[in-house]
Amino acid sequence: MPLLLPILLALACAPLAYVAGRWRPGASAWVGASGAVASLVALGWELTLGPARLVLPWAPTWGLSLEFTRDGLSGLYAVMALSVGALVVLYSRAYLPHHLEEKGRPARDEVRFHVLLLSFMAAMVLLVTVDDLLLLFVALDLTTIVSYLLIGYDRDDPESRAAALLSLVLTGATSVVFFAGAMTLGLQYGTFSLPLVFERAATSPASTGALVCLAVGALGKSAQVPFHFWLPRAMAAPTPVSSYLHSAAMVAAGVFLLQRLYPLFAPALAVRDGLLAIGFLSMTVGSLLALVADPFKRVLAYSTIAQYGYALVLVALGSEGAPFYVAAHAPCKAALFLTVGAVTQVTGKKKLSEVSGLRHSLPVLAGASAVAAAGLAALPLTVGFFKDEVFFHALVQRGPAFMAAGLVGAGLTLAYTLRLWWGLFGGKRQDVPAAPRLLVAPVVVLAGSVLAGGILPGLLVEPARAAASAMRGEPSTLALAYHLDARAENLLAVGAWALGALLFATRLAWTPGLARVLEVVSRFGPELGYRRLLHLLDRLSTWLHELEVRDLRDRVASVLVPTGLLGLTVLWVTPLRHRFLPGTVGWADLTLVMALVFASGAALATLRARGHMVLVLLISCVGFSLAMVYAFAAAPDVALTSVLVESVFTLLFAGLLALLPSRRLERAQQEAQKPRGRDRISAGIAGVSAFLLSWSALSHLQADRVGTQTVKLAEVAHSPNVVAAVLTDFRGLDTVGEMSVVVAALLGVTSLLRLKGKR
Amino acid sequence: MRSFVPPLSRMLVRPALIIALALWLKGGGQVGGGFPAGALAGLVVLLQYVVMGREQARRYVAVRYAALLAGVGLLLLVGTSFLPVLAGYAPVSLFPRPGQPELGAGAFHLHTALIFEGGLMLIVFGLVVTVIDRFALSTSTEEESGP
Amino acid sequence: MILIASLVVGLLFACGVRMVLERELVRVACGTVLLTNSSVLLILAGSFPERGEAVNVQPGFPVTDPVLQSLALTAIVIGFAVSALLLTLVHRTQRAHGSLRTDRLVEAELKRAHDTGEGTPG
Repeated sequence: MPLLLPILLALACAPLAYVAGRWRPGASAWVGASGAVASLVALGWELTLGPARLVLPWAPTWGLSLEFTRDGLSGLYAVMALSVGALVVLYSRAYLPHHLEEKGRPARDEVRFHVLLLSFMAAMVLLVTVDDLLLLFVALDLTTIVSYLLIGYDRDDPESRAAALLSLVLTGATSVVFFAGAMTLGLQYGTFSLPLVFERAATSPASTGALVCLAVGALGKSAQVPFHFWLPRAMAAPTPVSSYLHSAAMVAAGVFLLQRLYPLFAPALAVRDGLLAIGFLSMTVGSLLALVADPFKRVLAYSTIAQYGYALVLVALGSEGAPFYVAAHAPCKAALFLTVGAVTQVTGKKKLSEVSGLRHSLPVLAGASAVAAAGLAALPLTVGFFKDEVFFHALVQRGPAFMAAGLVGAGLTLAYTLRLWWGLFGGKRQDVPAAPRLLVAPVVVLAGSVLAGGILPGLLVEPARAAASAMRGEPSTLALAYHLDARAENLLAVGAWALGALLFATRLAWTPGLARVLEVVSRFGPELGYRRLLHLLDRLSTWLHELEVRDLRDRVASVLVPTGLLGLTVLWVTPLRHRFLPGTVGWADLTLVMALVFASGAALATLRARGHMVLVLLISCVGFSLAMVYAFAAAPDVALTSVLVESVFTLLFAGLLALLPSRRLERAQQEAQKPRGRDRISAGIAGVSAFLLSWSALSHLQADRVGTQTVKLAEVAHSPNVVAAVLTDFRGLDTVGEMSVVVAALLGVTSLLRLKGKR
Repeated sequence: MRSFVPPLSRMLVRPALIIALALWLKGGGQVGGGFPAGALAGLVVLLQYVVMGREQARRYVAVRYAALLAGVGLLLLVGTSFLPVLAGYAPVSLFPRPGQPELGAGAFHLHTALIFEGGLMLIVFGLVVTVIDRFALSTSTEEESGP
Repeated sequence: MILIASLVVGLLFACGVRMVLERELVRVACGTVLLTNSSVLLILAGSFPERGEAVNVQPGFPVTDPVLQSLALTAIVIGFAVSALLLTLVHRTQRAHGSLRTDRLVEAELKRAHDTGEGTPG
C-alpha cells in the first residue's frame, strides 16, 4: 500500500522527534524536519503515479472502512502542510529557546513543542488524504485537539490558556455540528465513503440541513464570520504556531473541507449564496480590522480571516481557482508570520507603533518579507498575482457588483499589507542586533517560492488543474499566465493597486476614525455573546452543583423519582392488550406465598427497626426468606448460593457494626431525622412504579422461552445441570464480565482499607 | 462456651472445605458450582476469624494469600475463555466440544468448564476472605479512630 | 401468583428506596441490599408460573427456566460484591470523616469546594 507511505512517514515524525529530543533537545527539530522532507519526497513520487484510492475494511458488517485517496486536491494541501511544516519546525528551533527563556521555562520543553507541531502536521496530512466522512471528522478533531495544546503552549500564561480554550470550544463545537451533518449524509446515502456519497448525491441531492451543518464545521475551522474571533485571540501562541496554523494548516482545513465536499454543495445554490455572503463579510471585516490593528500578529490574523473570506467566495462561486488560491496564499502568509516573529525576537516589541526603519539592520529579512508581502497583495512577478487573477476571473463572470466588491477587497489587502511592511521596515531608522540565520532562512525560502511561482507560472498550472478537477469532479481548464491587454481582470487588478496605494497614502487621515468605529462595533460582536454564554453556563453549573450537593438524599431522589414517573408514563402510553394478568394461585403455591409474605413482613419491619443490630438481622431475614422462596420455586442452585451469600453477608455486616464505634452509632441513630414527607412520597412513587412495571413484565412472558432451547443444548454440551451450562458455556462471557465486577470490588476493598492502616 | 467452640470450629474446617470442593467438582451435573463453593469456603474462614481471631485464622496459607488466589482465579477464567480464540474458536469455547467423547463417572466429568468454575470459586473466596481480613485488621488496629 | 410476586417486588423496592433516603450510612447500605433483593426476586419471578426440575431434566416434565436461574445467580453474586464494597466504604467514610450521617459529608464537601474556590481565583 504505497499510498499510505507519506502518511506513515508524517505520522512517524513526531515520535522520532521525541526520541531524538530525549537524546539531545536540539536534535528534535532537525529530525522532525527531515522526516517531513522525507514524507514530502514520498508524496512527490506518489503524485507522479497518478490518482489512486485505498480501501481498508474496518467493520465490514456496518459498511465502515478506512478509505484514503490520492488526487490533486489532497496532493496540493499535503505538499503545503508538509513543506511549510518542515520550515516552521526549523524556524522554531531558532525561535523557541529564546521564547522559553523569556517565559522562564526549561529548555527541554522545546521538544514538546516540536512534537506537537509535527503531530499537527501529521493530523493535517491525514485530514487531506482520507476519503471517508467519518475519518474526515476524526482527523478534523485531531487537528482541533493538537491545536488546543499548541495554542495553549505557554501554559503558565492565563491569556494563552483562555485563547486555547476559546479555539477548542469554537472549533470543537463546530466540528460536532460537522459530525451531525456527516451522520445525516451517512444515513441518507447509507455509506460514509465519499465517492459513493457523491455518486448517490448526483441523483438525490443532499438535504439542506446536512449541508448547512457541514458548512458550519468548515466555517468554524476557517475562522469566518461569525466564528472569526477565535483567530486573533489565538495569536497568544508562540509565533511558529500562528504561522503554521493560520497559513497552511488549521484554517486551511475548513476551506479544504468545503472543497473536498464541493460536489455536494454544487447543486445547493441557496447554501452557496449563504457561503458567498459570509465570504464577502469576512473579507470586509477582516480587512478593515487589519487596517487598524496595532500588534503585528493581529494584523496578520485579521488578514487571514479576510484572505480565507476570498477563498470561501471562490468555493461558493464554484471557481476552479479555489484550491490554488489557498496554496498561493500559504507561503506568503507563513513568510510574513515568520518575519514578525523574527522582528519580535530581535527587538522584543510586538506592536507596529513601537518599531520602524528596521530595513537597515535586517536587510535580508526586509527583502524577503517584501516579496512575501507583495505576494499577499497580489503584485506581479509573485505567485500572489495569480491568486487575485483567478479571484477576479471568477467575479467577472458574476457581474459588476461582484467586480466592485472584489476591487475594494483587493485594494484593502494592498493597503494593510503596505501598512504592515512599511510599519516594520520603513520610516525612521532603528538599529537592532542582527537576526539569527535560522530565523531568516525559512523566510527567504518561502519568499523564493513566492517569486518562483510568479516568474514561472507554468509550473503551477498542472497541480492547480489537478486540484481543481478533484474538487469539481470535471476536467479543469485553469490557465495561469500574464496577459498584457485590457481584459477585465487586469483592469480590476490595476484599480485595486491604485485604491490600495491611495488608502495607504492617506492613512493618517482616516485611521483614527475607523479605529474608533470598529472598537464600538466590536464591543457588540459575537465575542461578547461567547463570553456571556460561557459565564451563564458557568453559573448554571455552579447552581446545579450546589443544589445537588446540599443534600445527598435529594440527589438520590432526583434520580429515582423521575425514573419512576417515566416508567409509569411508559406504562400509561403503551397500548398493550391484557396489560396486567393476576395469574393463578393453586395449593402448590401456598409455601411460596407464605415465604413471600414473610419476606415482605421483614422488609416492612426494617423501616421500624430502631437498633442497628435488629436492622441487620431483619435484612438477613428478608434474604433468607427469599432464599426459601427460591427453594420452593424449584431453583436449588439459586437457593443454595443465596443462603451462603446471605450468611456471609450477615456476618460481615455484624462485623462492620462491631467496627463502628458504638457511641457514634447511637448518636447517629438518635440524630437521624424523622423521615421527611417527601421521602415517603419518593419511596411510594418508586415502589408503585417498580410494582406496575414488574407486573406488566411478568404478564407478558413468552410461552416459547430461550430456556427450553438451552435445556436441549445442555445435554450436548456435556452438562446435565442446565444452570451450570448456561453460566459457564452459553453465557460464559457474561460470567467473565461479572467476575471482573467482583474483582473490581475486591480491588476497591483492598485500596480502601490499606494493610498498613495508613490513609 | 469458650471451651468447646474453638476446637469445634477447627474441626469444621476440613469437612466444610471438602464439601466446597465437592460443590465445585460436581457443579456440572448436580446442584453446586463455583459460586456456592467459594462462598462456603469463605464462610468457613469467616468462622475461624470470628471464633479464633485474625492471628489464628491466618495460619492457613490460603487465607494469607487470598487476594492472590483471586488473581489466579481471574487468570484461570480469562484463560479458559480466551485461549481458545488463539486456536480459532469462538471466545468461551469449552472442551471437549459438543459431540466429542468425555471422561468421567457419575456427576464428575473432565471438562474445561471445571477450570472455569474453579476460577469463579477462587475469585469469590478471595473477595470474602479479603473483606473479612481487612475488617478484622481494622478492629485490631483501629481504636484511635475519629477526630 | 404474578400479582403477588410483583407486589412483593414493589414492596421490597419501596422499602429499599425509603432506606436509601435515610440520613444514616448504615441504613443506606441496608437499603441497597433490599433493592438488590427485589431485583433478584423480579428476575426469578419469571419462572414462577412453570416450576419443575432444574437438574437432570427428563423430557416431557416441567422445567424451571434455567436462563432465569443463572441470571439470578449472577445478580446475587454481583449484589454481594457491591454490598461488600459498600460496607467497606461505610467503614472508611466513618474513619475519614468521623460521622455516619450524609449531611455531615455534604458539609465537608461544600467546605472543601469553598476552600479550593478561594484558593484559585478566577
